[in-house]
Amino acid sequence: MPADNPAISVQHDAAHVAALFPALLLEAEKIARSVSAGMHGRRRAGPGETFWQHRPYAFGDPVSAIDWRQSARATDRLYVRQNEWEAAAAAYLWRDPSRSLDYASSRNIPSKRRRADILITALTMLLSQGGERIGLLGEERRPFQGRNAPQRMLEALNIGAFDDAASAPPVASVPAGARIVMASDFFTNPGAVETAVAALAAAGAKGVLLQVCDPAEENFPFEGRVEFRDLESADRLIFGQAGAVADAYKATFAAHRDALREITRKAGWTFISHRTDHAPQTALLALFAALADMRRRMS
Amino acid sequence: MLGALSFTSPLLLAALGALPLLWLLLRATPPSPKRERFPAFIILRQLKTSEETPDRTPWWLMAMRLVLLALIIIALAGPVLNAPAPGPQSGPMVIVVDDTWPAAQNWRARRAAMVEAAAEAAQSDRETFLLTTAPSTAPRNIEPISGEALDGIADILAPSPFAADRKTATARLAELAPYLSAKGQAEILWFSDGLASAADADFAQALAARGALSVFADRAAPTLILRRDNNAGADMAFRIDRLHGGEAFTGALIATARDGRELARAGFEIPEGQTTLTVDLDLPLALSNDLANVRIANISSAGAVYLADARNRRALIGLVANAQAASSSLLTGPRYISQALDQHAAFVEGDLRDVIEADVSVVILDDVGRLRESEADALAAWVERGGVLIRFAGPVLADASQDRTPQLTPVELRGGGRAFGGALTWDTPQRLDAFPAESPFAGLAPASDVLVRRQVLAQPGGETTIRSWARLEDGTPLVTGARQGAGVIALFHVTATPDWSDLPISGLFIDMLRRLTFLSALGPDALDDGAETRYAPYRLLTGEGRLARPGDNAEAMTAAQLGDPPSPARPPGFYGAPETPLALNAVGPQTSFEPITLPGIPLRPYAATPPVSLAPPLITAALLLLLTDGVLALLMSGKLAFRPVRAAALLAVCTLAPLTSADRAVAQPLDATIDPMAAEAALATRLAYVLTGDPTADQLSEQGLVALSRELVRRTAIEPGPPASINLDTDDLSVYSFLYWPILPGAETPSDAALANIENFMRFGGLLLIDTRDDERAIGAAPTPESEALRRILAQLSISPLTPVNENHVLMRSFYLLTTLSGRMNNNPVWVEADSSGANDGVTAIIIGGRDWAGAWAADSFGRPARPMSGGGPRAREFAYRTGVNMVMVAFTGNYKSDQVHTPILLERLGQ
Repeated sequence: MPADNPAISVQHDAAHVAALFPALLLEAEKIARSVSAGMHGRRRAGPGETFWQHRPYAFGDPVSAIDWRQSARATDRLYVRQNEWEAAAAAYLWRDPSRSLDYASSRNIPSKRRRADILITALTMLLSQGGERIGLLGEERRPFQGRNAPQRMLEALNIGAFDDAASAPPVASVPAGARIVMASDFFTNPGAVETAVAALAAAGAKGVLLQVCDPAEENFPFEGRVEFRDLESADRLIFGQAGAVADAYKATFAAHRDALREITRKAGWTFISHRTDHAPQTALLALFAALADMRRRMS
Repeated sequence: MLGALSFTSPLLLAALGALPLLWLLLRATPPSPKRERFPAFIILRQLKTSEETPDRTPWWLMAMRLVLLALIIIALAGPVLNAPAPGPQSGPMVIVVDDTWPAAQNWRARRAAMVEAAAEAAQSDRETFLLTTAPSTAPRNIEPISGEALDGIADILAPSPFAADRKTATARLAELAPYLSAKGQAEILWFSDGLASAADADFAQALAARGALSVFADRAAPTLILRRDNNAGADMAFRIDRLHGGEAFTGALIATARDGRELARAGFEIPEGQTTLTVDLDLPLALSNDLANVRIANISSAGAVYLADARNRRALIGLVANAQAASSSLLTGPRYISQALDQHAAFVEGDLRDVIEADVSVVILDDVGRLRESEADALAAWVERGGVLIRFAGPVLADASQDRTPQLTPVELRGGGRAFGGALTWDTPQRLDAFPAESPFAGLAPASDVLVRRQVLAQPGGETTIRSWARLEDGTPLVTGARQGAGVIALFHVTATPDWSDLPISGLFIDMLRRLTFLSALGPDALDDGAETRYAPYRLLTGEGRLARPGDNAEAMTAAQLGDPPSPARPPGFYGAPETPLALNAVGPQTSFEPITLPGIPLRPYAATPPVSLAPPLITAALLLLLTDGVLALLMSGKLAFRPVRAAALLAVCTLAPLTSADRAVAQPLDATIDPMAAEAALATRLAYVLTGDPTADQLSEQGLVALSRELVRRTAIEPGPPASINLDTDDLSVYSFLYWPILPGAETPSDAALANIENFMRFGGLLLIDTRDDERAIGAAPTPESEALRRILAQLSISPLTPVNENHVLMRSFYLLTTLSGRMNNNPVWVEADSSGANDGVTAIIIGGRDWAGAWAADSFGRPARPMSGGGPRAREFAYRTGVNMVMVAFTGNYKSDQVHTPILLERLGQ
């Protein structure tokens, strides 16, 4: 419903989107909490820029590490200044902004877009609790950090808007060692995905492809004469007997997924598929575990 | 029954020819597919899909759509059932009506057809002629009717109780000649009764020769006749015939007594296709003798009514045989007699004394000679009271009359007997002579084959000649009879067995015995007059089968004439005395009852059913189909996601709802209309008084209550409107609280409805003040006319026990503190309900006294008293007003002020 006054329209949309925030945040937080329970933070000394603690000098510590000002306060010992352990690079998330995610086959399950938003936001929460920096892949702005990272992530996700052109992951430059999470249905040419993944992998990034699918997309439960309409291109296809092609569809779908899985395997990435009728916690846990695993391997 | 189907614009039906074209067009269009948004389009693109062929519309959907279109086309063509045929005629119109009893059964349809024809004729200003075919003593002149007279044409006709006389009608057609020749082609409408008669074809030809003939005949409505079925074994058997054996007909026979009460009702059903049914009315003898008529319920036609003749009543006959004859029961006289009268009588056999005590109307003594003195006295007394005694001769009687004539014989008998035709006798057996005109057998034909071989002879003489009711050819009596008191004694000079004569085995025997038993029904006066008696018509049958008082020109008939079929001079009905009428029925056993057939002329039915336009239901059906089609289309394209069961339910509701809804719903008033008087009374408080019918008393009541109302307004918060006068029978008392009822001497007890009205009034809180106004005249317990009337009324009324009012009663406290309920006179006590603790919270519902309160209150419009007080002057009148105020206060506030009664006790307790 385009309003006459663009300013008013934008304001209206913003209010609409803002209204979505608390609910989505709440839901994401609930999921994130169920996953983070029992997990400890990552607050320990390590390479980083912010102060973490002083400790007595030990043999082998570089002299440059000695905090002379602190050591001067004590009589017979030297203190070494330790900074907080800090990841070499932030986690970069990406959620497919195209209209193809705006689909739910049934009223009882959320759209893929919403599920992806929730997962991304929940992941942001978890990561921000771990004190990590989170950025949006392909965005120029700095990675977010801290308590309000989920809100800012949501803002950056721009959950009210669609961008049909960007249905494939962007090819962006990220710092080495960055971890990437791409959430999409990946109903696009696997080549485009491979290009993006390969570029990121070449830059030294590790990552996860999270494929969010609707059950109808996996099972193809259509019968009879059906006209299918693409959400992005508005193209139409008519099947006289939709039920008859279900098996072929499933095979093609599986092949497409295998192709994606192959891409991730080549890049050493992780592939996670998630169905919107399944619990989001599963996917979040898998995502988180995969990211934690990568960190371990990288550090 | 479907009538003729016609179309207002039949050309539109040609559009039905285009339907096959539509079939081809519709077949080519596939049904629209289900539409689905689907993101995994990239995968769908890779699927190799077979060539997309347009799906064909299912044939049943096609058929439904074609039916839909066909329905619309047919509906637009304007189908009408029973459309009136256009009457394009312009010449004169002749309306021929069979105004006969068969026509009466569906006279409404005929009347409607006549009205319609007359209206049409009046509209086009055509000369109209009316010819009725029922025979009439004064046939209506055939002359042109026009203008306003046409409107009443149906009203001047009523069905007559006769069958159509089409022969006379044919002759009367000649009267039409001067009118018809000049005016071109005439339209002739013959509203026939559907019954065949002798001259049908001639009449139809004669009509057809004079113009365009349309013959109407009734096939739908049943045409029934009711006759006594004499052939059936049962006594009260009736045969119902109907003209057309169509559908099964269910009806009932209703037997009515002379005093109008219903004696019996017998339901019957004529099976489909059958035309005749015999119904047996099971009536006890006593009831069957009360029978006045039998009719078929809800059929109004003289033919459907059977009038019961008094002569058909079943006599209770006491049969007494002589003690000696008891040999073979098959050869005894009683057997012959009972065989002869079996259809018409019931029998009691036994001892003479038992028979008389059984309250028989006829006693037959078969060859009884001497009677004991006591028996003879009893029998004689019974005959004097109106009994009919029939005696048969025989050896015993002949023997008994040897020395002297036995008692209770009409003539002196000669001893022994006389035998003819024997070997030793000179005479040949004798035949019967013609019956004398003054005898009860007058009119019967003497049977030529009856030979009398022996007889008991009477002493010849004038008396014997006069008293001979039947003679042999040689002049000797066969039957003699005489009146005795209110009764009759008859003697057959032969035996009741064929020993002495052939009479008992001839049909004449039955008729003779019946004529004698008639005497018991009709009374002996019938004897005096003989065959020439004329019976005045008592009630005559109308064509609709109602019994009406005879007109001035109705003539009296003899019994013989009443045996003939009815004619205009002899209308069917009851003749003679109301208690013992002779009946002439509209239909007799010989009446022919065949449907009319006119070769070559089609019979048109009466337009009993109004034209019905079929377009609305067709359009409705088409709309429903359209709805169904829409729902189906949505279902097939997957637009309707709900379950098919629910869809089916919705469809069913949509389809059935129009069927169940009433065609024309008429709003019914939920409540009975409120009597305007009651409505007015409900809006303003009013005192009320009962109308007595005596203007003086009523005026006094009104004046009294007006004055009391005035005082109430002046002194209290009660501001009543003008008093209301109450008719206890009709008025609603629920809106009044205070009712003044003066009892006049000789007042009649109100009707049950009025009494119930009063009881309700008292039960629901009203206060009834009954005033006998006899206080100064009532001394002690001596009754006055008023108190007697009151006693009669109260005997009918349910009221609580009464007690004299005491000083502590709430009536004394409710407004003023009084010591007595003063009226114009203050002598005798005033009565109130004794223990009124039950209903109405202990408030009395009734006050009874004789103190003429209204008289004390009454004042004219200037406030001047209408009646003097019996003593005490103006101060006494003031107390009367105070009494009135207190009464009204009790009526309105109940026991509110009865607390005052307890004030001293309460104060005392407070003091403690």
